[in-house]
Amino acid sequence: MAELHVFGEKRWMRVVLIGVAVLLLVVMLVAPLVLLFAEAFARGIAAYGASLMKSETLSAIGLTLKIAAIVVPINAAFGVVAAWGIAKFQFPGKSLLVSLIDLPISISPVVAGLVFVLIFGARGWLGPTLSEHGIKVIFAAPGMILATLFVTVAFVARQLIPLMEQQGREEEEAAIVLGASGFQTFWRVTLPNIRWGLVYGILLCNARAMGEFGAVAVVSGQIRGMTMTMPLQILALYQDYDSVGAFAVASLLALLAVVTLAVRRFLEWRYREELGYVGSL
Amino acid sequence: MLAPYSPVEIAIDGVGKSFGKTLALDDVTIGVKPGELLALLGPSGSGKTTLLRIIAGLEIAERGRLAIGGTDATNLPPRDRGIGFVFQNYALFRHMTVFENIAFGLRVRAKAERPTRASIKGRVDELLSLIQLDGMGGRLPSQLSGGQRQRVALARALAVEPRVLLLDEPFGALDAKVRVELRHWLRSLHERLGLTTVFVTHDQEEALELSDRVAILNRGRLEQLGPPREIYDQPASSFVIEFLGEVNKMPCQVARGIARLGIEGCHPVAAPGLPDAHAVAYVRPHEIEMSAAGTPDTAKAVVQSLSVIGPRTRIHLMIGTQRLEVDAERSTAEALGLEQGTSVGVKFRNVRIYPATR
Repeated sequence: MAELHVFGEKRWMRVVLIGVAVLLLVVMLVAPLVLLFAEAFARGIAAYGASLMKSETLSAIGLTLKIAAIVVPINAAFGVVAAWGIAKFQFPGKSLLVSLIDLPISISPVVAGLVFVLIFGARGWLGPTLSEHGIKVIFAAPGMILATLFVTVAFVARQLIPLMEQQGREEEEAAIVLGASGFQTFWRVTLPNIRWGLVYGILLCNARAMGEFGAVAVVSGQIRGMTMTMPLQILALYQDYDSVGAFAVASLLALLAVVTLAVRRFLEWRYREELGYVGSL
Repeated sequence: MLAPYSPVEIAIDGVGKSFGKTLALDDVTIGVKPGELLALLGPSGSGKTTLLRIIAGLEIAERGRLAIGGTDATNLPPRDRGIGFVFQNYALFRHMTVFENIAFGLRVRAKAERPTRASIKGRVDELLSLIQLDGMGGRLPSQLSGGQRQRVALARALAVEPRVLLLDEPFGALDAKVRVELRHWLRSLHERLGLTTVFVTHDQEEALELSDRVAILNRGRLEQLGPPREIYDQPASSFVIEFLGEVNKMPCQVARGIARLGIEGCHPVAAPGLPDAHAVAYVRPHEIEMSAAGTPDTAKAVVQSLSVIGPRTRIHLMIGTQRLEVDAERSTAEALGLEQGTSVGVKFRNVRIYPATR
């Protein structure tokens, strides 16, 4: 216990500081979660289930899963490639690329959505040409996929870049010298070394893809039963005064967040076990 | 199974390489003899690691040629060169066990050349016993000590039966005791395998003790190449003598092939071939003889301080304004009754003259 006193703080001060932190967490995080689930189950489990089974809601859940199923693999692949390039090689314009990767995270999603309308909308650059060929992007699933792709593009890469930078290139070089092909090196050395970081990046990307509101709201047109995702559906139900319905869908997204967090804790614990040896002393 | 390496030669011919504007290697030519243990010695930034990586194929020479075993390897991919490479920080595959690390090079072979599962196991077990890690195949690299990791890295490199073994600062990350042990072990291993081996080091003692020949690099250029004894006894340049350990440096003047140190009682030294100009005289601390003050043919020096290091004594002397470091037997210092402030006669046993650095 002695080392706790190196800063000379008093016992009561410690209690107060920790108390304030805990209180804030309870008020800001725990209470809302509890209330959310309380509201969702306000009329019992049957009402909760029934409100999820409504066709509009089911279609929103289905579209959300479809978008995630397309966006997450693409961004995972992009993330691995981009992180590989950035972490393991030196090239001109590298810092510019790193800043560009951060752009989708720092930009407001609504602005991102508007940009897609400008490009693909009826009066946008490509809109007229595309509609001549019968391709509908805005107010349809393709636009929503593009918007979600854009917003979540950096999640996997940002997770992997520091990990790969820290691991360096030597293990890959060792594999090459030992006779491994490029693919063997990637599959047997690079990928296993980043697997847990990759899994977590994918989870984060998935949670964001399913929860994305702003950009998708702008490009989807919010056609009920057609171009609604879960977050859009939640707001629509809420505005219809269907609070059980809104909170039931919201509880699914909240659950996704909790699971993502739990897996993260688990992976961090795995990291320690497996990545204790970093390669350099 | 470990015997049939047929030693090959490595011919490094006029190799050059730049990184951006910095010249890493400049026209380096070294012939590594079959079965030889060659040290690439130099300070950091001398290009020694770059040269090793060029031999391995991890860097490509911009100028010059490289041949391994008589065949041109200048642009050959690393995997086709038949080399074993031990990285400075070992670069063990952190998620694989020791066994899998060693087996890696055999497992990634094309199906037709891949040994059977049983023969891979036999080979790995044999290597594990060679590196004295029997029964440790199931461990992860993170569960090994530095010296053990080093040996696993070596076993992994040997598993593919390379024609050439390359080691980058093999003992750099180890503590002093393990270092010396591993050094001896590596030397005896080399004698057993007879594999052409090149290793990089910045430690002159390591290079002189371990290798058959030493190549000293400085700023990307080869300063000297020769057996350790020759390098030590006949340093080719002032850089080499300064790099090979502590040495006293004194200004002198060369005229008609004779160097004068300008110290009273100090004989002129032959400096054949040197131009009439300022030059630098070098004397190693153990090449200075001390005698009672006033002995004929000696220069007069005053003891500034002295410290006893085991059986040796380190004495700091001043001759006028010239500072001198002397390394002597403890008994010599005691017989002369040396202490701070005493005068002593000094004679240089071996003076080497080099032109003042450009």
